[in-house]
Parts: sequence; C-alpha cells; structure tokens
Amino acid sequence: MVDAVLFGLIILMVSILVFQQFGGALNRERDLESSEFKYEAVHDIQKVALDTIISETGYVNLSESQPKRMRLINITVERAIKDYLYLDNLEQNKEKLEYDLSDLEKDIEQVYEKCAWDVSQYRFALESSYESSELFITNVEELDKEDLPPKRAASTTTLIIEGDRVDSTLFIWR
Amino acid sequence: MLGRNIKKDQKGIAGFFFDTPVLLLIIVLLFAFTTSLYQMYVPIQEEKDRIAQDRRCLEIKNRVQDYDQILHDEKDKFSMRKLEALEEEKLESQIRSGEDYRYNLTFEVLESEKSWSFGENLTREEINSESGVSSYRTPVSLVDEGRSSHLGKLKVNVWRG
Repeated sequence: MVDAVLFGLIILMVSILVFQQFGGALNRERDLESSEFKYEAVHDIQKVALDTIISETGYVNLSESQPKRMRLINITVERAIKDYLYLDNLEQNKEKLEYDLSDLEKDIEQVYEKCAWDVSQYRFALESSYESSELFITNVEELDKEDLPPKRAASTTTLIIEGDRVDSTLFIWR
Repeated sequence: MLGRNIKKDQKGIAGFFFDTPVLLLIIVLLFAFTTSLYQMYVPIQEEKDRIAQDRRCLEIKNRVQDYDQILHDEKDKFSMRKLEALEEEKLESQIRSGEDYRYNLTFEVLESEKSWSFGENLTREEINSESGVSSYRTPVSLVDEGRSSHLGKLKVNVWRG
C-alpha cells in the first residue's frame, strides 16, 4: 500500500512538472506574439516619419567670416537625414568647412519623438551612417547604440546619398 | 500503515481506497492537482483569446491603411476632406470585423483638436473587462484641402462583442 501511495505521489509530481513545462512553452510563444504589436508598428512609424514634412529647418555654415544660416523649407525627414549625413561627412573631410547641424538633428528627432513616443508610446533609436559621418538619435537619455535593449523591433530603410546606399534603421521598444 | 494491524488473511478486503486517512490524503492531493491545472489553463486560454483579438486588430488596421479610394488622396496620405465627408455607414460596410468582434477607429491631427471617429463607442465596463481591448496606435499623414501634410494619429480599438 505504501508503494501505491508513493507511486501515486510520484505520478502526481511528474504530471505537475510536465504541465508546468507545457504552460511555460505556451508562455514563451505568447512573448513572441506579443500584443505590443512592435514588429508591425516599427514599419508604420518608420514609413510615416520619413515622409513627414518639416515646414522649416536649416543649418549654419560657420566656415565663413560671418556665420550663414541655410534655410530648408518643406523638406521631408528623409531629405533632412540625407542632408545631415552628407554635410557632416563633408565637414569631416574638409578642414576649412564647419557646420552647425544641431537644428537639423533636433527637427529629425522631434518628428520621430512624435511618431514613436507621442502616438505609439514606444522608446526609439534611429541609427544611420554614411562614410565617416554618423547619426544616432534616441529619446532615452545616455543610451549608446551598443546598449540597445534585446527585446526591440527594427526597420531598415535604404537611402541613396551621392549614388551610395545608406541604411537608416529605426529601433523601437517599450 | 497508520498503526493498524491488518491481518494477513484480511489483505485486499478493506482495500486501498477504504482506508479513510489515505483516501482523504489522495482527495486533497487530487484537488491540489486539478486546481493547479485549472490555474495554468485559464491564463493560457485568456492569452489565446487575446492573441486572436490582437490579430483582428491588426487586420482592421491594415484594411484601413489599404483603402486608397475611400480614404486617401495620395498614396499613404489620408484625406481630411474625405474623412470629413465620409458617412459612418460607408466605412462600417467596408471594414467588417466579423460577428465576434466590435471595433472603432479614430483619426486625429496632432497639432490641433481635429479628430474623426467611426464605429462603436466603448462602454466603461468593456474598457475595464478582463479580456480588455486591443489597441493599435500608429502615426499617419493627413492632407488638407490645400494639399498640406499634417502628422496625425490613427487609433484602432477592437474588443469582443
């Protein structure tokens, strides 16, 4: 009889363990199909952000005796990213050139902030590089591109600068 | 077992399940076992329902984004003029959600108070219910009559009817 009780207990314990493992497997599947929609949302955010029109932005050419502000009217964010990368690369390769591109960078960031955070409540990072220039924008303070969280979704768009293919990647996460 | 001495020739007469303390122990263990199974089953089932609801939410969102002639003036840009003029019934008849699900859509211009809503209203009970509401919020481009583009928000809510 003691054998029967022990046998029964062992069967119960093994069954509980099996069902817990089974439930755990389903929970892992749930994580993949997360209701946060981030794998879908990242494409929508990237597409709309790149097409968004910035009514007025610009940059300052500091290499002349008098700083000269260049105004850019009604340009898309895609255009703004290309201009930023192109000018930044130019500045780094020519000693006499000096640009202040902070307005351009700020306006790109504002659009992504609205699309990713204000509308969809995602934290984001945008990464793009062209030759020696690099653009990294995020709404998380002190975040480096090496420290992006593992549970993120990404969408990469190819831009063309001077005939070269340049990838612009948006990452989002909660 | 349990201090009782069952004689050799009585073995098998009383039987295992007639031994009351052991029977009670087995009942308690079985109860614990079935309870734990039930507790595992309920969240799994809720999650499956939730995933199905989320999928329907995405499906409706994709349909809204795909309706070029009804909603767009340019590719991927929603027309404010059309949203203004669109009768609710027309959109309802185009974007069916199926019998089990109810939904509503809201377009909103970020820089102003302007918004357009279609579909059913959510009651407070439905918002607070356990199954909850699947919501998808995405940025969209909205164009006005002067062809100017404005950043806006499309929100799709789907819940079980």
